[in-house]
Amino acid sequence: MIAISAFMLIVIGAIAIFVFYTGWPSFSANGLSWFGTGDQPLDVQLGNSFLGDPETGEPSTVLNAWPAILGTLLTTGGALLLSFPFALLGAIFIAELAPKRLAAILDPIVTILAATPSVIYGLFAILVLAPRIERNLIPQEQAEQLSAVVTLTGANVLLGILVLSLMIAPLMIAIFADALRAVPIKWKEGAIALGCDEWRMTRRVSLRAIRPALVAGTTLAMGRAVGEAIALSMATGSIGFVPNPLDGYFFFLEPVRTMASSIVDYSEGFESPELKANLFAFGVILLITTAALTIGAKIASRSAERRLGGGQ
Amino acid sequence: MPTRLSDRVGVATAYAAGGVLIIAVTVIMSWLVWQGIGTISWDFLTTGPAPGSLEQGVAGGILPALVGTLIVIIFGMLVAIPLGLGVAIFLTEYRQPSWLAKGTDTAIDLIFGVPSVVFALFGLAIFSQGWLAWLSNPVGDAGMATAQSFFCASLMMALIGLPPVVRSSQAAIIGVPNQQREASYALGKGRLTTIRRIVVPGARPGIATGIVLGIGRIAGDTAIVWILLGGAVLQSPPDGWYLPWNLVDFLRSEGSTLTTYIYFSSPAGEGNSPGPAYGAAFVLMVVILFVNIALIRLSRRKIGKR
Repeated sequence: MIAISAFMLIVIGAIAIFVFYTGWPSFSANGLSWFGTGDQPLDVQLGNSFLGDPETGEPSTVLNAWPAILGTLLTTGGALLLSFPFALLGAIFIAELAPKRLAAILDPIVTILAATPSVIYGLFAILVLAPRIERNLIPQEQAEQLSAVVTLTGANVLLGILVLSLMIAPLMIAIFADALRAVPIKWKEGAIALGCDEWRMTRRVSLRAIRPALVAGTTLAMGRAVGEAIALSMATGSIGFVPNPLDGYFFFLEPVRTMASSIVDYSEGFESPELKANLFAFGVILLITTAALTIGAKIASRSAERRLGGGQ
Repeated sequence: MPTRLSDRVGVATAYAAGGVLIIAVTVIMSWLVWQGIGTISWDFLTTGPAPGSLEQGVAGGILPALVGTLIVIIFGMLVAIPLGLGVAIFLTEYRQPSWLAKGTDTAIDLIFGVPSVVFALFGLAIFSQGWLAWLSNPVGDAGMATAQSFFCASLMMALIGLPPVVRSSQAAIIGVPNQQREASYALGKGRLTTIRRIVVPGARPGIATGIVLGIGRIAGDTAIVWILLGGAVLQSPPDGWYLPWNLVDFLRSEGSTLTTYIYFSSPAGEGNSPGPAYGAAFVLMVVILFVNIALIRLSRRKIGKR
């Protein structure tokens, strides 16, 4: 058993070191401008690191990854903003308000939704939601005005946010509802005895008690969203474009490409060492982010256990 | 009903959220069934994609993808179960040296959190090295390998399946009453025998839960398969793949699973033919549904035992 555990520790350590080591050339060649915007679009840069710079013919090492970083930030941030309030209210509905029978049906359904493969949500997004967004939300004239810069289709930031929300909301509902049910019954009864109705009790007692669980669930969901590659490669249009806030409402209808989906989209050009380093650099950022989120979630769920365990 | 306006609004929004949830579930599931059931037929499940169809779009059946999903699950879990069980036993029964226990504990958490696309990337870099060409197929004479085979995909899938096996087994092993262990020791049995005869059998429902959770995660993963099993849909497995003596050759070959089949035949992939994509999505959802029914059954059994 010791050997197996030591082996697992070595494997995960080797993976981390290997990813850092392979991605390092991309960071060292670009310095801090790795995180910058750059003169050329992201897709041209990634293409040049594979096919070679059109001027020199040599594979270029230049990479300014801001479009991919922004794509990840926009989709993940948007999905969290959209699904957190919904998940919280949904969890309150399932755990406190819904009739027992309905809750007993909704519980397994939420679990199944959380376990549904992301590619199915991606398929739903691109076949069902995308045409509707394209038809109803993108006026023809404005789309033509912008067509010199970028083609607007149904696959865009908004669709990316929607598909991520579909993925992470059930996960958050499941965690939040479990936490709400774990609030010691004495606390709830105390609140009721003091004249609170169920809603007041939930707001004043339960929500405060489960705050660490809210943090834990949200960080877990965020880790999922940041690392999602396939569904976002389907839903965001997969163009390394930087949405322009000056376009106002159209900001959310412009395509992006996230870091994780860049890895999937470009994995076929792996023979080029320059592109390989660039993709591993994305991997490094994803690894650091998700590791930080995992550890954050663990700390939060420990404190949740302490808080909810202490009342009994 | 609460008296204050703000409270009433709160309750109303919570009910609205529940309503939206119910509607969303109904819409997605009925869409999947409505679109998928028309495509499903005996031929769809038992034949491969039609010859010459891959350029214009996918036609024909999903047999290779179905087989691929099964193979990846079986071989991924074949690696994940012994490793996961070993780690779980170490983390509960031994915990010595403590730095190793703490380190492994954190490592399992990290494996759980790292996106599968990072594992896929790592696998692609490792398995494409020439000295690992026996896991896939060599490329030219440059000392490189394709890094795309059932072996490569399954090995990385084992990492995806590992954390649920460890965590569920751990919880179940902790739940085995201490008296049973002590009774075994009192009868003169050693530690290993006790673990093998008392602890592991007692924890079986929990271990099974972990295995089923791991199967669900592997069946649903796309990124690893797309990168490490080949980003295309094959017309059929190699001839005679089911014969035992061809097994190694088969496992060294490229393939597809239900998830990559869906991705390939969606408008985002090259296949761009929604019909078969719906069909495959329906089949995959049925697999996930069975996994979840198994999980509910297992949790009932656990409660019944105590």
